[in-house]
Amino acid sequence: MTLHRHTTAGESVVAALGFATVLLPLGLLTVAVVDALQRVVATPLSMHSTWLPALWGTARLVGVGVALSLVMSMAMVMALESTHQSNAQRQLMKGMQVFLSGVPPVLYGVLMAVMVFGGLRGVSTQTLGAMSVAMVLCPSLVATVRRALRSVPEDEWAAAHALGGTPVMVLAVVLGPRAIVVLAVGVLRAVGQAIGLCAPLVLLWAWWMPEGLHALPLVVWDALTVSAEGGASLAAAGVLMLVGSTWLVNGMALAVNRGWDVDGQ
Amino acid sequence: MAPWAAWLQSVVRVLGVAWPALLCTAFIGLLGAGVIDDGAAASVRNLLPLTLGSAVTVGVACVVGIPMGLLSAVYISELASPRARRVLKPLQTFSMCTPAVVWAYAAVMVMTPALQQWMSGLQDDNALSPGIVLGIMMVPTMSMLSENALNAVSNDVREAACALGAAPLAVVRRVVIPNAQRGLLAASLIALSRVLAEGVVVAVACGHPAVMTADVRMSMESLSSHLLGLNAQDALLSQPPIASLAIAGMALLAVTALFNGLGQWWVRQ
Repeated sequence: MTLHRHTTAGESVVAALGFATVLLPLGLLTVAVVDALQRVVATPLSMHSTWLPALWGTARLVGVGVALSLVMSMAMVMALESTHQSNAQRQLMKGMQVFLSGVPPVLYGVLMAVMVFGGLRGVSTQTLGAMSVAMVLCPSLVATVRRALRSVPEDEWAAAHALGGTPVMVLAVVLGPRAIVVLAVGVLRAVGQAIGLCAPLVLLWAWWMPEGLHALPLVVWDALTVSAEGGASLAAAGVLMLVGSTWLVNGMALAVNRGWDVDGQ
Repeated sequence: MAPWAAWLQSVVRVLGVAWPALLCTAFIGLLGAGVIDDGAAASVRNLLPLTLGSAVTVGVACVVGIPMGLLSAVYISELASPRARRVLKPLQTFSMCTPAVVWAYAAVMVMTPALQQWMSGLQDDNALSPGIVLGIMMVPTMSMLSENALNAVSNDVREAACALGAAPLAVVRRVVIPNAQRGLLAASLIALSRVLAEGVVVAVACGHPAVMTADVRMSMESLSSHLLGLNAQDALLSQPPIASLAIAGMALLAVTALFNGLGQWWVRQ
């Protein structure tokens, strides 16, 4: 027998308000995207010819930044998981990870600015930009890599070692197939974050490399803060590209994650 | 293991310890040195309007974002059907991953003109519009963190309350929320630290005058937007104002680290 309970008016109101608040951020973004679309459609096509360097610059920044960040986070995870570390050292490292995850992205730009002023002037534009991107992404990637390692039960590691598996074999046969999905989702999310990263790059771009550093968020920033003619439509086009690319990457991460869940792993 | 592999592993481990330690030292050392150079009295005087600006924008964001985030967490965790949850949670991640400049665009092009239609005296650059947008931006983060806190409440407690005849809303209000209080407070603190750290929206929509005002219709500057705004104002200078950057940076780091640390500590409790 199934018991049915009537929903009270209070529950319905709270549920409706809750549903509305979940959708509100997306609603505001949709209005902004529609506004941007209208501005872009009303602008002559010739105004959008300046986007290619920004797109290429973003691709390079994201590629190098994410790769660098992945290497840095893997090294930190290896140090964290190492059996040679004492408990106090491990706690200190976890404390540093928590501290770095709470550092506002703009401060990575300030740090880079201070370092460039202090003698890093010879370092190339792209390297400095990629370094700031990598440092911002690192704390979240450390968490991802650790989650990927934890996704394999310790028994399986022990069994593989007991059967005489070398570290490379254990990595390829036991860890790889399981952890790769978690890692792929984390990396895709990091890519999405890197595409839209603006704050740390603004400081570098302003003083040292206005010609050398190209990125989509910087073009939007410039168009919104410097109210030149056609700035709004330039910003609108950048917003559409940013929303499209970050949502695409996030959608891919969700699809990979969901595919993994459906397989029941 | 081959000797070269063992050597490589050791090098990687040392690097893994060294880079976060260097980065933490660089933040505290370099920014701290800038603060000391400039003199404490001058730095405190410069920081007052920025701190007030941060308090006003973050205050507006909290008034908007914390109740809404809590409401959406209660809906997703307690009232939504599994099917609705499966659809809505991914949608939340789309809002979360949206870049800050897009939210800044929404503040300038959508929120400010909409507010100006019914609020007289609202300047083009104002604190209300970025505050509201920051609040809306905070909803998914606040919702996800609060949801974790609500889900941590044991199902036995819920079932016991239901068995005693409590309606679902009463269970949420009288049983689940009081039990999840600490987690919800931690979620609010972490979300607050993220909003404090967000400079792009405030810098674009709020302008850059460092004035002592708490009027949300006026233009003002927060700690994080000051860092970004320095380049807009001083791009023609031959060298960047390192001392100003260091002072505002150190203050921002201290405030966000405090809120984030408290939040993380509460989560562990």
